[in-house]
Amino acid sequence: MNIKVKVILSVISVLLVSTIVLIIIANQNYTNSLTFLGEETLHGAQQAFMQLEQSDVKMLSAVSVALTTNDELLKAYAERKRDRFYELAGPIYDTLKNRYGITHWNLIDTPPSSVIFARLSKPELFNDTVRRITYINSVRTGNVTFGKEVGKTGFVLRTITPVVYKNAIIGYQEIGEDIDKFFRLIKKQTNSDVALIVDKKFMNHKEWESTRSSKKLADNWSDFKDNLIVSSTFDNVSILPMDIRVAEVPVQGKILGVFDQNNSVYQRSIFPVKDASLKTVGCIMIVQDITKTAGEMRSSRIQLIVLIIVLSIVLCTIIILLLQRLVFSRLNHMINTITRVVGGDVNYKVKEDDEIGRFEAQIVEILRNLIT
Amino acid sequence: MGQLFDLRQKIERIIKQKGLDDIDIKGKIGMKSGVVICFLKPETPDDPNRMARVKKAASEILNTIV
Repeated sequence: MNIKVKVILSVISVLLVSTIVLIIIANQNYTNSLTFLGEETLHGAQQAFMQLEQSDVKMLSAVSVALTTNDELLKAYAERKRDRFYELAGPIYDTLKNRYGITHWNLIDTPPSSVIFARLSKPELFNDTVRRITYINSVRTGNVTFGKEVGKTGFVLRTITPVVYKNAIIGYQEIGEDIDKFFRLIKKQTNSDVALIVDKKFMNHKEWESTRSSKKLADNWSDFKDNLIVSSTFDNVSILPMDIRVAEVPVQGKILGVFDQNNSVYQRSIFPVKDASLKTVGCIMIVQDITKTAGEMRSSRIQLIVLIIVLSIVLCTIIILLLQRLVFSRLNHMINTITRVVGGDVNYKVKEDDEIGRFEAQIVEILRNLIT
Repeated sequence: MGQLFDLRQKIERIIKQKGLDDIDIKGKIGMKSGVVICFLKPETPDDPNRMARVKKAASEILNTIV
């Protein structure tokens, strides 16, 4: 193999390797950009969720404290007049429910009975025992406590306030709300769909079926093997991954990657939801439709790759042409000159305008001296 | 003595017959054989080795058995 072929092959190889490396970098950059986009959305949703929770805890606490200072309500409860209590609290509950989304207002007796005295959401149901951690904590500390807990209807954010009457705690007031409304707000803020997924072991199938039935919704218990979609802002559950292990979702959240379906591109991320006992019982899935962004990014990536390939070809051509013109054609010229001098043309003129020209002239001079 | 010079003359005849570039062809034969053709004079001593090299190179370049 002559030097020209070796040099050309080397140049092509170097440019080919460089092109492949640049294409890999371009692809990596595309993946990193999508991950960055997902992280931004994930952090945005996490922040929004935390802020909504903090804000609603304040609102629930304020409502609860205000209600526990209502003399008429206090008196009805202290005298255990359930019907009177419902009569007084019913209109207030309706207002709280309609205006502020408060779905739970319960009065729970002190231990050891710890039974529900009044349940505004379902007045006919009472006397069931409460063992929720928020209640237990409030009993233990004598203070207002709050936290999210998995209930029959899903996740509920609750505050428990001791009810004091004539300087004695006569019971505990539970004010709560389903956190479903958070998801609509998160969707508004992040422009992403949201789903609350809970590990089935924290739920009861019959109770869940009953809850769904009361909302005129189909039982979705069997949609996933281990998890249950408690709430979501979208219907297409097929874009949710099947194999989430709720307990293993990292505290800071996780990007699950890009998912293509029906000409749409979705970025999925997830972060855990802890209940009042700080146990991870579920997770919130963020599903962002990034079809437009991903399309633009893919288009840019293709343009970049095409540009890299075209530039490599142009560069390769320029280098080979330069090598041909400046080196190989000059070497051929030198061989021709030496041939002519050896053939007897001792007056053959050589151009000495560069390194090869000077070298050629020196060789020719030596030959001339030898021949003449 | 004179065999190499005779060979030079033979080569020059063939070049002339074929109408080739004298300088170029003699240069190529010289480069290939390592013997400068124009150095071959009547008094150049016979050398079978050089003779064979020039013949071989000339035959290849002129495409004729020299």
